[in-house]
Amino acid sequence: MGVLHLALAIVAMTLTLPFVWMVLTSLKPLAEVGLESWLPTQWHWSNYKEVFEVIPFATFYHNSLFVACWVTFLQVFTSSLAAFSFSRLDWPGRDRVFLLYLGTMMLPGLVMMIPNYQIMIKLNLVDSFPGLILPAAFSAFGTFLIRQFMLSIPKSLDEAAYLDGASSWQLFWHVILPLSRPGIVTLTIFTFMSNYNAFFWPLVMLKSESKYTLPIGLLFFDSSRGQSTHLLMAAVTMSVIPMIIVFVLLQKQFIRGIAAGAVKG
Amino acid sequence: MKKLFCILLAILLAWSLSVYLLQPEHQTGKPVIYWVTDNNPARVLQIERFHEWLRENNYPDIELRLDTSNADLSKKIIQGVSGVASDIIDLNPDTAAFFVKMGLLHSLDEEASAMDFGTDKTYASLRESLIVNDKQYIYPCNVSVASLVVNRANFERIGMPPPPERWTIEEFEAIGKEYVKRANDGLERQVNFFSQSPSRIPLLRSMGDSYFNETLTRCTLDESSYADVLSLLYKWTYEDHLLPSEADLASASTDSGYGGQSLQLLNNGNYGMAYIGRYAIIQLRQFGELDLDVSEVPNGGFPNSLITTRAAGIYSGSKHPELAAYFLKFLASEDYSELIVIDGDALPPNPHSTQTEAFLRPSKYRNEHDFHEPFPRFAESIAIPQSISPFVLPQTVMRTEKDAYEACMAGLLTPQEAAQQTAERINEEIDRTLKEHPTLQAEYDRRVKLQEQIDERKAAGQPIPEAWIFNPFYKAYYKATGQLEGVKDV
Amino acid sequence: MSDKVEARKLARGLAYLAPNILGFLAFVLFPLLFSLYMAFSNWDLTLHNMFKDETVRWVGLDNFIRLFRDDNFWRFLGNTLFFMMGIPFSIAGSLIFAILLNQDLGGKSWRMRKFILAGAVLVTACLLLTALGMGATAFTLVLIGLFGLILVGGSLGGNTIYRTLFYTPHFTAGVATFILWKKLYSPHTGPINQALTPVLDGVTSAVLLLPSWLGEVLQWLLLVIASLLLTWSIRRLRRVWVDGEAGAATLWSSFVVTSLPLVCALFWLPGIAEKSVAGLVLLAGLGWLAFQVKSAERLERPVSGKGFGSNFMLAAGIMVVSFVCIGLALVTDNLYVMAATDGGLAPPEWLTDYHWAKPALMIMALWAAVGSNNMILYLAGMSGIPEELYEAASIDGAGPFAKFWNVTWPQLAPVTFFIVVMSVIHGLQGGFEMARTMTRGGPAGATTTLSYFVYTEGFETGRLGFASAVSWALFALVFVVTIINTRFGSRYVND
Repeated sequence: MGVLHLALAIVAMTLTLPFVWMVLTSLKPLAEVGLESWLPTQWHWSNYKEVFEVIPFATFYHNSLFVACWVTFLQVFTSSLAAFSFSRLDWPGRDRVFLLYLGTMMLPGLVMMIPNYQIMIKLNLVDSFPGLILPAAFSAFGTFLIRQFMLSIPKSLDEAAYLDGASSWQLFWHVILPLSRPGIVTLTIFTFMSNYNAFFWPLVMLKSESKYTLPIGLLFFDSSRGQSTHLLMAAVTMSVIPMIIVFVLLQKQFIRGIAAGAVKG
Repeated sequence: MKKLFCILLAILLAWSLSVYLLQPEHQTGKPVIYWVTDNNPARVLQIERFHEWLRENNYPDIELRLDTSNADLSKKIIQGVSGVASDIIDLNPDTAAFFVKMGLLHSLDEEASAMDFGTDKTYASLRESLIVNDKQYIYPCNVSVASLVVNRANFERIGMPPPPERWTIEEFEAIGKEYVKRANDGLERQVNFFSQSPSRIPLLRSMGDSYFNETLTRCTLDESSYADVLSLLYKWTYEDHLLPSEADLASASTDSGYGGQSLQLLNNGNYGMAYIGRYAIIQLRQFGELDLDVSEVPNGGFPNSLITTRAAGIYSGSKHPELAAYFLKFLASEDYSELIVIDGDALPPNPHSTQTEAFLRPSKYRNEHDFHEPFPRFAESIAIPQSISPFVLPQTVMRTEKDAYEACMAGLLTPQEAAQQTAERINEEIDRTLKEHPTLQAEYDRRVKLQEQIDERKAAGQPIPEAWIFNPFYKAYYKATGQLEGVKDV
Repeated sequence: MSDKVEARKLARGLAYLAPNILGFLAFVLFPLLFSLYMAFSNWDLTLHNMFKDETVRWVGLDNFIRLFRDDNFWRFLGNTLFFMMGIPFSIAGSLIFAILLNQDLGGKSWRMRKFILAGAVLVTACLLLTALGMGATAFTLVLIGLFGLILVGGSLGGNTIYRTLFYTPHFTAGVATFILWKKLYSPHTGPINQALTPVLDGVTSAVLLLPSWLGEVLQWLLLVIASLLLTWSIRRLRRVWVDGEAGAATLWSSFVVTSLPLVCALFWLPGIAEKSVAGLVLLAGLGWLAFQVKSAERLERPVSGKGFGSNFMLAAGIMVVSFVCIGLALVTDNLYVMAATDGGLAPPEWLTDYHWAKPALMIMALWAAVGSNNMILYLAGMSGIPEELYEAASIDGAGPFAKFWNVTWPQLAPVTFFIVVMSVIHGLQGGFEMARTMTRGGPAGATTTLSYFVYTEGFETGRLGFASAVSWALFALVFVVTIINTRFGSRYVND
């Protein structure tokens, strides 16, 4: 048991070392960056303030959150509706449509990028938030995940609800959706994280600095002022914080959601 | 659950509304034009001066804004083809050729003659670079004639005289070996190098060869001295250690500032010379009063140097091309050139400004009196612009060549194989481009015929008419060697 | 009547589907068909964009023909596949971590208190030393302090703390990771090489002290180990074949996988003697196996793919181990020479070195992947394994390893299958972000993957038609791999 503890602690340490280096470097004065000592001789907390002064970091932050929240909301909402249709409603051709739908999950996003860009030009959405949000908001993965979850809810509930005179809409809102909560939380985390970190599409789409999301902002920071390692590391550290919050708050539900949903698929 | 969804939706909608209302646009009354350029502090000053200049001359009131976050080439292309690029785009002559092909640049012929910023206003050797398909598309901002900038102190320290201004490859090698020997005497690991690696183009040209043939219809690297250039660079890097390797560079401990780490190394004494243009002085001035000198790239018989420029073109999707043209007029003005003379950001577009006291002998910097003069002199005498073929994309040529060069330096290809591979790939690209752009075929055929005639004349030792030659290098080379029709031996 | 009901049902089903499916049609299906069309056209930014409108021509298979003739395409495909060699390592790592995390940590016993105490002492000692300004040994201080801190946290918070810590690499996912690692890999000022330099210096002096023939001996030893591994695996294959537990496809694919390291050794090892030993072992193994397969009596004749999953996984594991052996053999062979040349052993230049750039990126990817979603998936999978199975195994007298091999591993098969499929799909399209933020695809194209190739061809050269063709070739690859996976994998899952 003691050995296990030590092993866990050693592994955890190796995995977090880069992270620790990042945080420590972000607190160093410029002159000490790149020195062998990991600890700063003076702790420069002002580096964090400086990041906001040299680049519009607050704007990047806001934009990333804004886009990620919208995408997450839309994806969770539309996916639950679709999953409800695929799992609890009975209609001709349902399973065939679902298979086809699922098949697109393995398509490389790359294939869609160039035509999607042409569509955005035609819709006049290049360099706009809707242009970022819309293509990311509809995914087969979300539907798949929640459908798996809804399938595990007993069918008898539906019959009871219908007997009570509920419509399918009421069944969805008042019975199925609340029971699928762990699935929804899992999807929320997945979607939020991947869209908060999205790089490829925003890189192609965005032009105005005022619309930059964090990854694009960080890249811009790296290419324009990459030598200020301490500020860069401070910016990276700050960009990670929302993810930690989301994970720490929701991890129990997250793991339960995965256990109940995806795995039994 | 239902409530939660509704609340979230309401929050998101309110958030979106506030984002929409707080959009930073439509704030000024005057027309705004954007300039996509690099992230250089000098640009801010240049914009201020532009606004002043507009007021002084009673030109229309325009606000010029910088866009430094989209200077990446692929971003400029993506934004260009989708109608959202900035009004004024920073380009090199080679990227300009690509942008013209995509139809992204506004032809300047009318504005240039009306507002007086034609190609005749700048260096003769640069003129060809501003023209694509017989039309002017760009005007230079900062003209660069890259040369070897010498830090005399580094030579003095080891008791050697500074190198001559013009030297042959053999002289370069001999002096370099002596330099490296003396400079690293008693050191455990070599940290001092003779020079930063110079560009491969002037070396190749100095041996009388070019990337392309006279009519720019074929890449001729495989039958030229290109393999010799690669072997030479390999020898200088890995056997004689005159030039640093990638690994040497990576382990040099510097923070790279504007202009790259090479200048820092020049200042620290790790480099005897750096291969760079006049703009090096911006960074060098920050180091203090360095005793500077300038030498040519060593030559294999034909001294030359490469002239390029950062230039500005007007985007064809611009809403105010007529206003953007004022900026190009500003670039051609004495006011702008004076600004460049003072801040040292390469050569000013206007050659007259380089003959002033302020340029040649800036009173504030006595140590620079030998530094400035050679650059405009090279530009007027030995400088030749890049050879850009209309039958292949310049960036493909550069990438292909760089790939083979890196593979050769990593020991994966021999110089001969690298030359062979580069020529083969570029020629394949030419064939492919012709297939994809049938409209080019007629011009290509015409030039191929000319090329045959040129080859015949060359074989017979007869002079060649200048009008047959499209490659700027051969024009200059044949002129110098007396192989041009109607031009006598000098 | 029933038609009407059907129609109403259909309408209702589609109504719920509508919001999702409309977006899906607009932003997934339509672009998909569009890009398929582009792949067969001469769409090029120098011909067609907002400002230029020459007619788009249908060029048939031209783009694909060019693709197959383009040696760059094959090279970048090779790079992509090379990067994917990291996948088995990362899956194995995730599994091991999940197993570790799944153990009972024993709550708050007195033993725990000892750990808390030890950790606290370490932390306070470090804090004190820092306060006293022991800057020179700061790295060790950080290490010890961190270790103490983690011990305290782990003892108090148990699995939750460790899980979160294991998950940290995933927080910095994406661009943040790449920017961080670019700094970590910095050859002179980065912490990795700063830590490696003294270690390598020590190794250099140690190697120089040892006799030079030792390297040769070690090399032979490692080669023998690799050969023995192959021999063992061949004997095992024969046994399962005779027992009817494996079909022909399983047998031969496993053989190919296990013999791969020795085949590579044939090319890599320098000496003729080593080469001939590797060659002999290979030939003998092949001959013996072929003979046995032909002559041995079989209990039953299973389908050729029977037992594919577990045998293949085992073969892959053996391959990894023997590759490590062969790699070490190469290292030991060269170590003395390398140490003896000027300056001794130097840490690699990582991202700027042609040969190190790929491994550097793989190490980074491994760091990011082991503790992330794959581990969580495994954890979730383990929580679903019924306790009775373990109890039954205990009654049969199974040790921990037997329990793992007979209970945990088969029960986790669906998870593994899911992870493998997703990783492969991901791996095939991956590498763009790394190339874009860290290496620009260099040096000499060493880190250019297909997805970065699509980007440069499309948005730097402007050949959208060709770029689409490349991405469809990629799609075809993903498709084939998924089919293979499903064919064999699902059989394995159902075994």
